[in-house]
Amino acid sequence: MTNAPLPPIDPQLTPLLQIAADLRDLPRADFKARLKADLQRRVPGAPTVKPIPAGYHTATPCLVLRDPVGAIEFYKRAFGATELMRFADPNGQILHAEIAVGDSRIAIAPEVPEWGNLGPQALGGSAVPIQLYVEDVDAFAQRAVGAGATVLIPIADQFYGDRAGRLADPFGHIWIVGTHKEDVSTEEMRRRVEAWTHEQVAEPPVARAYRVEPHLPVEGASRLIDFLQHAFGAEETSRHTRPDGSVAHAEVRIGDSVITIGEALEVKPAPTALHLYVPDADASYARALRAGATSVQEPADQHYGDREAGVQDPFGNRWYISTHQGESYIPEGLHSISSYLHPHGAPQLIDFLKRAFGAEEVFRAQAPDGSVVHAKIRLGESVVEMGEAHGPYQPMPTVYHLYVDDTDAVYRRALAAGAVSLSEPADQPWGYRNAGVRDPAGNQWWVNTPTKSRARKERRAPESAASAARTTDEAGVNFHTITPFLQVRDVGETVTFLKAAFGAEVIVFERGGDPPHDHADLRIGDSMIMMGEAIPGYTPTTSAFYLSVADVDAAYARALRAGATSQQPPKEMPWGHRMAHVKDALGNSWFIAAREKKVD
Amino acid sequence: MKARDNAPDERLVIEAAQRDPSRFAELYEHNFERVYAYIARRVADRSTAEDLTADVFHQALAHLPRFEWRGVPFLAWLLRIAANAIVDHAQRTARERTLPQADDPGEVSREEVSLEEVHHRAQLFRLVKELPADQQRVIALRFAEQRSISEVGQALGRSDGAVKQLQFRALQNLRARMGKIHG
Repeated sequence: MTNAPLPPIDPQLTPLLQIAADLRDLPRADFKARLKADLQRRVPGAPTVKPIPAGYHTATPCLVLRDPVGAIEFYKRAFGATELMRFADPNGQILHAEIAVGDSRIAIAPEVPEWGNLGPQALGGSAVPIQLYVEDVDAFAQRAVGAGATVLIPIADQFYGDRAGRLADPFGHIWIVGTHKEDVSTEEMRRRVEAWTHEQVAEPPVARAYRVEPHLPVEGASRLIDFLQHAFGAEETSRHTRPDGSVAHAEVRIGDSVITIGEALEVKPAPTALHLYVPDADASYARALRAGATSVQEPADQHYGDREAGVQDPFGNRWYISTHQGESYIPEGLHSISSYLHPHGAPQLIDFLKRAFGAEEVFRAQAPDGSVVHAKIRLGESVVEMGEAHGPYQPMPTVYHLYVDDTDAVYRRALAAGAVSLSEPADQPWGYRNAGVRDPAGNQWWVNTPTKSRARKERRAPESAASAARTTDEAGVNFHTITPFLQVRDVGETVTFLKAAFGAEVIVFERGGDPPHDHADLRIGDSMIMMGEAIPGYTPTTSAFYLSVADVDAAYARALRAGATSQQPPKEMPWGHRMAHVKDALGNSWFIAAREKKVD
Repeated sequence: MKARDNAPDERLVIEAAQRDPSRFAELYEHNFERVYAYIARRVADRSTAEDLTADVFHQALAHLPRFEWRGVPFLAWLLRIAANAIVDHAQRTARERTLPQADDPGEVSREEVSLEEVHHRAQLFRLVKELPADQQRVIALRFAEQRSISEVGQALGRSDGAVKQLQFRALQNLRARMGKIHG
């Protein structure tokens, strides 16, 4: 026993053990306060204080806002809210406020990250939508939208007995607004939920992005296009000019990629950074300098195996020129051009792209401090690269055209992910349903889905000029590589005439776009003709058509009956065809000619 | 004795509370920890200590108009109510359990806790509220709520090691502060 003495207890610890022993009787934290409240209620003659104050229910939402003052004004205008109280610091910054919407109280709090009070911008979306029952949801939503709210889901009758929809306010909070229309029994509800679930399952998968093209608004668009032709061998594939001759929209192809360029008139020029893969970085670098670029980085071999150089074009755009040392000079999965972003807060932007557009992170390299050195984010077939802003590489907010399969769904998702609306979804005269948002890093995303008629046309006539062969769709409608497109004052009147005069068949007749205008696709014989109402900015066009028919005289007579004026009755032409000439009410000439040469 | 040092103040507060019962809150704030420490030392479990503490203050509030200032500290009056409540409780539970009755009040008074110990513990309980927030949480969870180290770790999102560190620092802190007060 004596050879194993107990180790002496550290004399420092003894008093601590005593304290710990005493603390075993420590009262529970909330007990003292509970008992005090209980005693105060029992004080005879004391004014009775209700544990749940008058005017409050058990739950009161508290909206965290970056701009509480602006939001309160908005809620007054949009929802008819009344302000119940406001406590502000001497600078007028709200510390706490309460408003009432209908019979319900909503607290308003400023963003205070230290307390975990984060608003929709910081969170990248609203975590808690607020549900409002109102007397007349349509009138309510109309007022809210008039005040600046955005419709996320239009007001419609819902299977659960409400007429309801979803709105986003300009501050990022989401409101589910509804009017109860029908009491639905539990039994019936179960049936409807089941039916609804089946419907949802049958719906196509969530909207996806399938391509992204950087857009460069510059001052001197045509000079930039010249530069790109000289520096990188770019090919201009399309150009739309404004009446003043400036470039409204041009598409430029470099390698396998397309970027679009427009003269910055109403928008500010937005220089950006692009990553370009070329067969010979040194040669392209030298050529770019000769074309007027300035050097940012001389060609050098990088540790990851690419040879890289950097130039800045005369318009402020950065071009990172790379040659990949592999089977191809373009790494697998990439294209000739990828946009390169230098945001503050790359991880947040990546999260946004995932949530808003279904982007996929394919690569990320991080510095020891966790900042993103280089990341590749896939959006459909395109890749956007990025690295955290540092040194000379500061944010260059970029404009993108994003092609998706459902503009409306992607727009809603982008707003829910924290984007700001620039333009609500609308059909555009150029055949796309288009919407615009700005992401939290300041980049603009113009989201496009081909409208139905365009989608049909694209199916029939692939854009590629190489496929000059005509295609025939299931309805037997032929589109050729070139289809005449008339801009007319009145599509309806023209269609009526062409039906009566030449037996035209209406394939598509629709109204849409902004401003709304008519569009028609017609078939005459084996050919297609398209026409659109001349909206402001487009001048009505007149043209001359050569129409081949079996019986010139019959066709001529029919055209006159339909309202055409004769320019020349049918007669034999020196080259052996019988031909007539009429003009329609719009001034277009129709040369009606026999299909076969007259054989004498 | 400390309570006697405050005697003139205490008398004024009691008389104010007798005129206006809402002033009872001050007496409650001043004496809560001591009453609780006294009761907790003599009963087996936390919920009994809470029930009896509530009982004592309810009785004190109801009987306050009958309290006469005779130079005896208010705390002594409260602890007398507490002692009676403990005995009543012991008798009640004994009867409920149909165990042999341990109803000799003299038996209980011999277990009397020294006033010095009551003051000491009340002081300690109050000092817990002066600890940094994270140390306070650990002490409240470990001792008042009787949670294990790993339960506390889960509740606070910290490792077991970090919880042990916080607890050790909290105890050292309390020891230092108690030392300062008691010299």
